[in-house]
Amino acid sequence: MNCSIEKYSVRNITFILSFISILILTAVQAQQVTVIKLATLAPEGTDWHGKLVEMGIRWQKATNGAVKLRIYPSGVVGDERDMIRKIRLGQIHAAAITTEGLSELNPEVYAYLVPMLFNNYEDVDWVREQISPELVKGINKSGFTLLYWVDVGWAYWFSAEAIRVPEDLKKMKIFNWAGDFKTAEIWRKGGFNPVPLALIDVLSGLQTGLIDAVTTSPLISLSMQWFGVANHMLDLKWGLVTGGIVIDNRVWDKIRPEHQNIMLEIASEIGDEQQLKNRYEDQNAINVMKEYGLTVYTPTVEEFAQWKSFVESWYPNIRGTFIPAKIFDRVIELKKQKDELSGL
Amino acid sequence: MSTSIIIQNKFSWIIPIGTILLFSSACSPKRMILNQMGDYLDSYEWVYMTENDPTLVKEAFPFNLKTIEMLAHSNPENTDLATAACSGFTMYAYAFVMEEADRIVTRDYQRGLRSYSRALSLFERGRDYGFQALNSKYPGFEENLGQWSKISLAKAKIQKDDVPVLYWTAAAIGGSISASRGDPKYIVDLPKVGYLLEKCLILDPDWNNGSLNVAMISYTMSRPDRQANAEEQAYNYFIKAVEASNGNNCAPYVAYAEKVLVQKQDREAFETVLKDALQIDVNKSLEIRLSNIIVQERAKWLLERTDELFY
Repeated sequence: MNCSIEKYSVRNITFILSFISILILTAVQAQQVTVIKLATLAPEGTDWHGKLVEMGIRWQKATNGAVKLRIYPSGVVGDERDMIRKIRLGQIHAAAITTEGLSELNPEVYAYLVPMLFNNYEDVDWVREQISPELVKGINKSGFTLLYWVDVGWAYWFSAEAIRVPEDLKKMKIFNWAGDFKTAEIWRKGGFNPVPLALIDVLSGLQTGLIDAVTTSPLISLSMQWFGVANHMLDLKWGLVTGGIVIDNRVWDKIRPEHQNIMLEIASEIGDEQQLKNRYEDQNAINVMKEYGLTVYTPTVEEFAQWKSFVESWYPNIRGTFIPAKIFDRVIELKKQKDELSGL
Repeated sequence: MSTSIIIQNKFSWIIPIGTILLFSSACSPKRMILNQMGDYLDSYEWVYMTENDPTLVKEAFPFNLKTIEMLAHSNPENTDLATAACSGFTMYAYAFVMEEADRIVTRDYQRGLRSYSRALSLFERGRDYGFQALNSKYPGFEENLGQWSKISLAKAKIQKDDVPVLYWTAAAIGGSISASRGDPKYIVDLPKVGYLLEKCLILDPDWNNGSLNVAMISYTMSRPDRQANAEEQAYNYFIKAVEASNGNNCAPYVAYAEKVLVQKQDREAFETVLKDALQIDVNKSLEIRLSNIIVQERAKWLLERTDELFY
């Protein structure tokens, strides 16, 4: 009797243990975590990096821990083209990148870089609303999903001597990314003197006179201290530095649709907050640099017209070379429509 | 005299300092007492730096910070008091507020931001006391620092005994840049950190167990005029810092692992260097015991985060 009780107990315990194991296994399967490895050039500890951290925390919470975001900041994964290459190799899964990296997925994103196309962020928002579906479709075709667009800021000219009209800039030696022969050729066709340099050599290039001018966002000019030498800024929105977050569809598609929806919602909220901050940060950086000796020159109406006329005469060299012809024509047309709507 | 007696003796003046302060307004030779306080500041640092219980320091330190601040405020000419306030606020902000913020921000972003904001305010106070001391000794120091090149700073009549205030001012500026989360208002001051540290390196390269070289590891990796061989330069600073402390300072190991090896994505070396830091006997160099304990805690935290730091 005792023996049978023992046998029964052992059987019972075995059954219970098996049942618990199944429960645990089921729970583990249900809680299978998708780890998303995201790379960015944004330095660790900056607000740009911080907003990504916040997005990760909110994703994890909203998906009950099913999605975990790991961020690799400060360019530890390499430059933006390296990031895309490493995503394709499966080493990482996502990236927060500018048009430089996004162009690897869809060259049409260069549409944002048409010189002097946008007068303000209202123009940007209006054009973006029209072209975004096409750009996103192109990015999708490359096997990626775009989570949100975010503007980094306007690119202005910073130079050692004041620039007022295009002829002033043509006399200067301007920074061009080392190895980017295509862009160098386009500069030359515009009558400029591009000097190939690595990014880390820009400051010493400015100090030694190897280059006299660089086009960049105010925050970068400040962070890299370029404005200390290139202490003249032309208050003319030369181009838009913009970007976005992309994720490899091979990873994205593994995430449950209800989680995808909530993740997109969170990403969109984070993107909107970041957009607002970045758009304000430009002026903040300019004000700080002015306190430290930056001279800002705002062109007169006539000078602005000279710049506009010059870049329009230069557009044929950019169309179909740097920027695909179809999207180039589209954004030029859209901007005309926007100007008409604005009564310009 | 045994170490414990030294510590007890040094500790004994801390309690009276508050009492003196509270009643000093009633004493007639107030200024004399305040001036004498400066003489105790070395002892004050010793008491804290040799402590083996960071929590005790975290809780006790604010009282003493406020005491020193009141003394420095009442006696603005006293550079020792201003230097002590500069180092005190900066140390406290780094060791307890930033350390905590770095951990919180990965779990609760908004709470983390509040901690960074608090750290920023403390760093700013530290920086201002640093400049108070330097301006008092070298009129116009702060105003000129922005314009001074390394050469003009080298020409300034700055002495070896100015290294502590130069270092802590640099540390406070650097801390405010980190705690500001990339605010242009603070980032613009980054070159000043380099000017001050490089001047210190000329005056006393091995100061405080290689602290200057440790700071240069981080600065080399983030300086605006960063060179192509920055990792190699940072490695040289790492070696010098280790040598200056006879291998007893954990800080160079952790700084090198965090600032250089993560950037290089050298996971194996990262783990090895941090484990080396954890092997250091914190009781070997009493003057940096507290710092070593805190830095070892950071080393453990970094090791736990290895998967998050390497892809």
